[in-house]
Amino acid sequence: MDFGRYGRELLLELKRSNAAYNDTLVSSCLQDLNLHVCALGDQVAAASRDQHASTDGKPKLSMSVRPSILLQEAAIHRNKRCLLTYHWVRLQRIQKQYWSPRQEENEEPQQLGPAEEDFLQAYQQLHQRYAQNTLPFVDDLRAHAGLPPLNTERVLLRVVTAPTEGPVVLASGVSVEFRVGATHFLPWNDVEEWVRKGHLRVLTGEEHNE
Amino acid sequence: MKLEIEYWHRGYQQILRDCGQDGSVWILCRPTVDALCAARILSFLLRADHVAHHLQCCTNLEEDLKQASAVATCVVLLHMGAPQNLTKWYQGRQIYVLDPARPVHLANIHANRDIVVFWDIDETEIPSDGENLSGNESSESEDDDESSEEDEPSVASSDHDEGEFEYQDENDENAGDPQQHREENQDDSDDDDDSSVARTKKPRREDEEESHEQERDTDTMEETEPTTEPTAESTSSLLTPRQWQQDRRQRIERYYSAGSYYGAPAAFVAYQLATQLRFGDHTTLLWLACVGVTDAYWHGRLDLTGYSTLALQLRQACQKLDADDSDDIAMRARNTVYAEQLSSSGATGERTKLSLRGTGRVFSQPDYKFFLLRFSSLLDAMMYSDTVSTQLQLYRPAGMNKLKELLAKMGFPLTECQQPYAFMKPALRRMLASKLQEYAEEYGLENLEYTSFLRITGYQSVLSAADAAHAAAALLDFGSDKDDMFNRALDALQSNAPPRVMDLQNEDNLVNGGSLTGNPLGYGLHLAMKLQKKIFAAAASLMERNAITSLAHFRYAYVGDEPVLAKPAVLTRLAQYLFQLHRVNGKWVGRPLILLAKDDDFYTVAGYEYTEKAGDWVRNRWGQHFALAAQSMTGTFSFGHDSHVIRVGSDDVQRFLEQLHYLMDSA
Repeated sequence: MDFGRYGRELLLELKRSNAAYNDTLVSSCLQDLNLHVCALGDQVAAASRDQHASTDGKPKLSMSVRPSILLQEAAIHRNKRCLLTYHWVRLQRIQKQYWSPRQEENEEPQQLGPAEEDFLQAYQQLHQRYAQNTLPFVDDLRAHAGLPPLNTERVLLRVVTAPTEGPVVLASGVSVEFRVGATHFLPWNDVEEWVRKGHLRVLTGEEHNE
Repeated sequence: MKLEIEYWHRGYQQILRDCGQDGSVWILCRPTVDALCAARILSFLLRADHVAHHLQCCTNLEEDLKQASAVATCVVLLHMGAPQNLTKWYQGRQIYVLDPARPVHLANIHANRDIVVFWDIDETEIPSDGENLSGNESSESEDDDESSEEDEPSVASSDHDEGEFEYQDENDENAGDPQQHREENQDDSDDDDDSSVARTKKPRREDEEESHEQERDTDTMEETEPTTEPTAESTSSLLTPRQWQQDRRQRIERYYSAGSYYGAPAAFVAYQLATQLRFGDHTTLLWLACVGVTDAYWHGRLDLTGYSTLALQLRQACQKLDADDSDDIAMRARNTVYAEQLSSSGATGERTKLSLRGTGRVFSQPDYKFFLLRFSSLLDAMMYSDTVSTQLQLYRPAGMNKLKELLAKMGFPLTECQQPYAFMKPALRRMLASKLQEYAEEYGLENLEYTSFLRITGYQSVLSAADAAHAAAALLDFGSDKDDMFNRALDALQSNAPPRVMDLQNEDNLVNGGSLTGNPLGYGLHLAMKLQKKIFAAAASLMERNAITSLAHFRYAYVGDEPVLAKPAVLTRLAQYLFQLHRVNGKWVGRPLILLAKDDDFYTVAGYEYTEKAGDWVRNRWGQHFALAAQSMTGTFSFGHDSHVIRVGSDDVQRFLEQLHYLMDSA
C-alpha cells in the first residue's frame, strides 16, 4: 500500500507531457485503492470485535484504532480523486482535439490510447448524428464552434488587432471605427470574416450566465 | 437637459428611436469600477434590444467625443462629462450623461435635448438659462450690456470665476511654448468658444425663458418642471435689468463655488434604468449595481448616509428576487434537498442531504470591514483593514501587539489566524462574530460591520461586492497599458468563475500550470492586496519621516515615486487612511490635505477636505483653488475628470504650492 503515491504520479504525468494513456499506472492506482479498501475493512472488523459500549449505549471503536482508520479512508479518497482528475483532464483533451483540430505552434500533439481513439470516434459520430437530425444545413458543427448559428444575430466582440483603419461603414449600414481593446456589438454577418482571421474575438455576455 | 428619475426610461427609449436599424451607440467609459459596472449593465440592455454599440475606455474626452461622433448616432458618457461644458464639443450627436459628479455644468442642463443628463438629486438652486453659463463673465462686460434685453453673449474677459478654469486664448495651446498655459484635457473652453456655440442658438430673452421651458415637453421625452429660482423669477419685475443680471451672476457663482460633490453612482443609475424597463429580475445586473455602489463608498464618493440609503434599496431588490436571503441559515437550508425526496422511494430513517449550487444568487448581510477576508488570513485581513489598522495604530509595534493580544483573548491561536480564512477551523470561524462582539470594544474597535452584498459563485463559495470592487479597481490602477487593464477589469466583473483562495497566496497551481491569466478576478484580488500594502507602507513612511508639512491653510506631503500611487483613486484611499489615522490619535483637526505624487514629468496633485468623522462628506473646493492658482502663474497644468485633481509640471509644482498658499492667505 502506498497511500496515494500512484495517484500523485498520475497527476504529475498529466502536467509533464501529452503522453498516451498510462494503463499501467492506472492499474497500479486501482490496485492500491483496493488494497486500502481491504485493509480498512479488516481494521474495522477487528476493531468491532474489541469495541465497547459508550455512555449513550451505542457501540464505539476504541481511540487507538481511529487514526489508522482515518488514514486508510484519506488514502482511499485521495486515490479516487486522482483517478477521477486524470480521466477528466484526458477527456477534456480528447474533446478539445475534436473541436480544435489545428494545433498551436510548439504544442505537442496529444497521444491517445486505443480506448481513447474509440471514444473520439464515437464522439465524432454522436455530433454528426446530431447535426444531421437537427441542423440539416450544417455539414460540420466544428465550423460553427463557439459561433452563433444564425447569421443575422449580433455578437459581442473585442478588437484584438484593428482590421481596418479609420471609420468604415459595414454592409448592414452600421458605422464603426475599430480601435484595439474596444468592445463592439455588431451584426455577425458583417464581422464573421474578421473573427475567423483573428482580428476580433467573440465575447460572452451576462445573458450567458443567467 | 436634466432627466429626472421617473423619466429615465424615456431617455433610453429615445436612444432606441435615434438608432433605428442602422444606428449605433458609442459608450465612452471612464476607467473606474463604477463606470465599468454601468457599462456592463447598459451593454446588456442594448444587446437585449439588438442595438449596435461600441464601448471603449475614455482617455481624452474631447478627442474621443470627436471620434465617436463621427461614427455613432448617439454617445453615452459614463462617470464623466457632467461638470464639463459638453456643448463646445457637441458634434451634432446626442450625448447622454450618467455621471455622479456635481455640480453639473449649466450649459449641459440648458442644452435642450442635445445633451441629456440623468438626474438624481433634487437641486433647487439651479440658475436659469441664459448667458454666462460658465460663470466667468466679468461685471464690466455685464454693465455694458445692461441696457439691452436681447443680450448678446459677452466677449471673454480676463476675470475667471473661482468655480471654473478657462483659457482666454485657445491659440496658446497650439503655440507649443512651455511658458504658456497648456491644458491637455480642458474642463471648459474660453468664453469665445462658449459664445460661438451660443451663437448657433438664438439667445433667449429674459421674458421668453419661462414660456420656452414650459413648451419644452415633447411626445417622446418630458422634462421636469423647471426648478430654477421661482422666487427670483417672480421678483424679477421688481429688479432692474442690471440688478437682475448681478443677482443671476451671484447665483451662478454660488452654484459653482459651493464645491464639488457626488450623486448616485452611475451603476446604480443604470440599474434603476434597467428596473424601469423589463430587466428588473436579472440578478447579474443587481450584482453589478451592488459592486458599483460599494466601490463608490470605499473610494469616498458616497458618505455613510448615502451608502445606507442606496444599500437599503439594493437590499430590497435582493429580497424581491430571492425572498429567503434575510437569514443565512435559511439561505443554506433552502440550498439543500434530500435525495430520498427526489427518488420518491419513501425511505424512512436517516436521509441523504444534497446541496444545490445556487450560483449567481445575490443576498445582503452584515459583513466585516476586513480586507479580502475570504481570500486571505484573518490576521492579514485585520492588519490591512482601514478600520482596524487606524483604530489600533498598527503602524507602531505596540499596535501590532494589541492586535495579537485581541486575537489571543478571543481564543484564536496565531497559527490559525495566519492560515487562509477558508482553511481555518470551522469552530473558530463560527466563534468569530460572538468573540468580536465581546472583546472588540475593549480595544476601541467600533463599527466593524456594515451592510454588504454577497454573491454565490459556486458550491458554498461566496464573493463580496467589496472584494470584487477592490479587485477590479486594482486591475485598473496597476499596469501601463490602459486598454489592457480596462478590459481585464471589465472581464473580471463579468467572470462567474469563483476565485480560489490560493489565488492570493500562491501564484502557482498544479492543475492549470501556474497561470493566473485565465481568472482575471483572482489576479485582481492578488493586485488588490499588493496595492493595499503599498498604501499602508506609503502612509507609514510619511509618518516615520515626518514628511507631512503643515501650513496655515492646509497640510501637504510628497507621496513617492511609485507609479501606482500617482493614480487619483489610490491617492484618495491614502488620504482617507491618513485622515482616519490622525483623527484617532487626535493630531489633526480641521486642516485639509494635499497629496503630491510623481508621474513621469508631472506631479499628480490632489486636494482633500477634512471631515470630523469617518464616513462623512464635505464638498470639495480644491478644484476652484487649483484653478485660481494655475491661472495666476505660468506653468504646465492639466485637469482630469475630477476637479480636485490637477497635474502640474515637475518644475512648477513647488511654485504651485507656494502660489496656492499665497492665494488662500490673501483671500
